[in-house]
Amino acid sequence: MDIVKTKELTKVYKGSVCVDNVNMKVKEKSIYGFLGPNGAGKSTTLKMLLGLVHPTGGEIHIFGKEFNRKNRGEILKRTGSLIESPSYYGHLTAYENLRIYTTILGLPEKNIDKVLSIVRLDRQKGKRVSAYSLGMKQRLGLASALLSFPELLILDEPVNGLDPAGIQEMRELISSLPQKYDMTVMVSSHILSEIDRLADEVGIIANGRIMYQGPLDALHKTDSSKSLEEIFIDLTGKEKSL
Amino acid sequence: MIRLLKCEYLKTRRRYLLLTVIAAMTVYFIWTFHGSYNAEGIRHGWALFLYQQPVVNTIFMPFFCIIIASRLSAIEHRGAMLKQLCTMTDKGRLYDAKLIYGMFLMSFCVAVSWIGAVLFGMYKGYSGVFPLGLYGLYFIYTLLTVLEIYTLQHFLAIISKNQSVGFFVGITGEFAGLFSLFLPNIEWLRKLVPYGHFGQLDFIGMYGWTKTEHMRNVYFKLMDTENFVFVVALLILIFYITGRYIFVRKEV
Repeated sequence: MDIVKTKELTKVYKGSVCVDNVNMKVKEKSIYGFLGPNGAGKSTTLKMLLGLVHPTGGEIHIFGKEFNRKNRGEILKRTGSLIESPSYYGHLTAYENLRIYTTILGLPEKNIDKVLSIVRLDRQKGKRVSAYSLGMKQRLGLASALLSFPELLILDEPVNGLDPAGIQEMRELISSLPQKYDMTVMVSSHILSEIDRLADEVGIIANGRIMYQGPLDALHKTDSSKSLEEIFIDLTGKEKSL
Repeated sequence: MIRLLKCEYLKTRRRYLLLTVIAAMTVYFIWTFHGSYNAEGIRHGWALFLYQQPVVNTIFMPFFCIIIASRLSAIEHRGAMLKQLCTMTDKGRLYDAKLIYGMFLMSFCVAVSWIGAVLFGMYKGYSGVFPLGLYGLYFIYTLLTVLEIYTLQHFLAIISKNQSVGFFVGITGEFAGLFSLFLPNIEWLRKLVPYGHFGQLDFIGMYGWTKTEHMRNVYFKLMDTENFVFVVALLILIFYITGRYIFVRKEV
């Protein structure tokens, strides 16, 4: 079953097309890599899936239901997200930050210790977030997204700003989520190598348009003489990934 | 909504919001009750307070509204929290919860100022029977005016990351309100500008004013309440509906 499906999803900002007729399909309990260069429309697309940005056109279906004002609350209850930079109250501790989320969502407080353990912040839970490193803040952001153990997890550039050890740790964590917690994960990134190691299927977006969608193996096979990076560059034009 | 209000309280931990309110009220009381009270002042104490307090409120209450609204909204903007919170709850309810919490704090300020004034009057031994009815009305109308201003300041604080927008509008409004108090010929300014509505709280009449005996000929009177309540209530509704609509439609 496709847990996320978009049909001709479009977003136009002041005459400039940011997302252009995107038809996306994300299979249940898979890791979907949403890949594209900077400014391709990844974050905007993900924000539309969460209702943070209003689409100019097209449809979004999540969990088989149309995403509209009526269904939004019900759908978002089953969704967790980390969009762009992690959000937090710097003057509060990690535990206190997550306690605010559990209060809003009506979740048991025992979930806080569980997710802090998953992201390995349990020893720093009493420390104010303003004193955290960037990597720790990213992990806290992931913890807040996991708090309700959602069916769908949307992560926008979760490894941004992390060192290689942090990237590996985050990658291992994300890889385990579908099997351990029956989650479907959508991960966006401009780092090709990370998505290559992580995702079952990819959607490659450039200039707001989906250039390729499907299994990574099939992408490799489109031109076996070229590396994945070269195929990616061909698809997205002259723009290079970092 | 109860959960969201609880969250508003949890968010203000270590922001010393209550301390800010106490400090602000302390300055307010010092300003209100400073000065020597001669025999004439004590004799007309209850009237003197109602006479001078609109001016004091025009200066202080909008300032409190700016501070409280700004502090409650700044914590969301600083940590880019709105994009996270808007995926967890309805945007409109988020707006309402923050507004209600801020209104509660401002109501607390008004209540404390009123109780402080009554206790001070009793301590100083103001003459005559305490005019409970008029003071009750004064409390309600002051509270309505404060909530009106706070509804506007709340919208300005939450809609813009730059808190100086609300600060600028609030301070400008405050000066316009103060200005309108001293120019009775431009009564339209006092009626139109929310910050001038404190000046509409006119419970004291005076006749035969002289420089030396100006407080001798005072009397209590009832102001035009119906129009006042209608205008203030209408403005609260307009600020609330407009602000909420814009906030809900705004992309995060």
